[in-house]
Amino acid sequence: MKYRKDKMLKIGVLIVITGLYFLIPAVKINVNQAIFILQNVDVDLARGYILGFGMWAPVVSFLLMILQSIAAPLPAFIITFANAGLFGWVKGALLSWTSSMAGAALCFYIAKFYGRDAVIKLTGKYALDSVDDFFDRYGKYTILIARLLPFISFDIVSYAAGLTSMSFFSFFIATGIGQLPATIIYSYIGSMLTGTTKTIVVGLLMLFAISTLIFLFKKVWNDKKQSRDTTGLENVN
Amino acid sequence: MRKKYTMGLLILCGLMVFLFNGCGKSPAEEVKKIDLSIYEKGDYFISPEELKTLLGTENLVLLDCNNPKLYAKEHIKGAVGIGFHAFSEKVGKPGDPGWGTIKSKEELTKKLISLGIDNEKIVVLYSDLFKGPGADGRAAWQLRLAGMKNVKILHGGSGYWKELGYEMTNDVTVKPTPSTGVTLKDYDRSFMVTKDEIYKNLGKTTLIDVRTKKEFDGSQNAGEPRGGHIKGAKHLLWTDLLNKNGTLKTPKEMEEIMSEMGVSKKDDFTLY
Repeated sequence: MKYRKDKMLKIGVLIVITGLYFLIPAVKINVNQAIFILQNVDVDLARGYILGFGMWAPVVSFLLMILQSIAAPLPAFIITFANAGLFGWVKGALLSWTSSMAGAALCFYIAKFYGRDAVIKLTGKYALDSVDDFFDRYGKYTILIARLLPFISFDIVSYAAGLTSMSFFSFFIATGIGQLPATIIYSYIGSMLTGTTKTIVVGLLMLFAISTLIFLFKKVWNDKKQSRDTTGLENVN
Repeated sequence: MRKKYTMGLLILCGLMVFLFNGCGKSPAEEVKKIDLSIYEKGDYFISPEELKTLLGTENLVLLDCNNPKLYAKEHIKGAVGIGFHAFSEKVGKPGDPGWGTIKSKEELTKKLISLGIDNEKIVVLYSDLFKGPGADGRAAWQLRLAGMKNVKILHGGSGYWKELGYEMTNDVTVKPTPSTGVTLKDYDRSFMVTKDEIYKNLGKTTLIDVRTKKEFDGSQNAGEPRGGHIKGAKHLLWTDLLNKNGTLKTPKEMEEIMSEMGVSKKDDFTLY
């Protein structure tokens, strides 16, 4: 009975959202236009788009970031750059950071709510298997490392985390910390990122990621040792 | 849903390119050099052979008008990626007054200087004509509006360039050095028409919609706030004036296509 109710709720929410999109032309047009703008991968275009909303610009930027979190292939860094250009790098970074956290939280809960099959549909055919166990145990660190590596999709990590039994709180904290360096660097250097600076930035982020990785290995090692010790004890008993 | 559509489009594009090139990697056997002088405005174009000799020289500004993602994957050595809308007004969204029209003279001057463009160097624009909206054509048209005579479009785009076996690279080029200045003329009004003028003369002039058939029929996938086409417009896909490899069809072929649209060289007509 409860299961049926649950299913109804899931389908209901989906119907409401798709209904909004298809039945209210303004929603459909605005979502389509936002997607079109982001698909151009053009910072100036995104900046102009956000600026065009006047006093609503920060709100639109926030929603844009959430939209790109749900739809995995849209680029987030375009919005980060545009924010830095529009609101100055400090406010821009703050806006980009909070909105991407909101987006990550949403992805996490979408995955929790709709489960694996739905996520596979959203992210394309991403191999979600076998990371679960690792994720469960070392979730925080995995998230932190993934967030630091600029070439790992932000959205897929959020979805994947939502599929595990990991607590939202530790996911959120790890996301926040992991996002911070990249957001600050991207906002500060903004669109001045050319060939050489890009390499430096990526290098820097890799350094952070590797230090976290070392940390993680230490932890795994210790856990293994601990489990060895306990099994040893069991044998004695 | 949307993603599926774009994927489908990509696959289709890929397939088309594949089909057009036969089995992909056939080296251009005995490519006979295409004579651009048979075209009345042949000097709007530069042949790949000529561009190749200019690569790396001080006298060239090479601009890639592909989607930045494609630019990151591969581009002609020394090209700077400027995307689809480099010279357009971009505040707001499609459908807002002035969005997507040419920047003001002052703004355009700034932009050109930052790209290292002056009135002397040869400015060459290109894109992959089957993987985008032909933004190089628009950019070249905008610069011609502003009276720049040193602007050329790469004949056949990057697709034909590759077919000739010429090199592409993925190294990110250094930022362009700003030029010392550029002088623009007042925009040539005879070369363009405004929304209001079209509206006033609705039904009196020939209008040709050169977007995809899908857009003509109401698709809004390219950010159009309203679907469909201007009342009375005919449809002709812009790439129908090109051969399968992106080079221009002959003047005779073009005249035939245009006469099917009901226009000759002497007529005034509007494309959008």
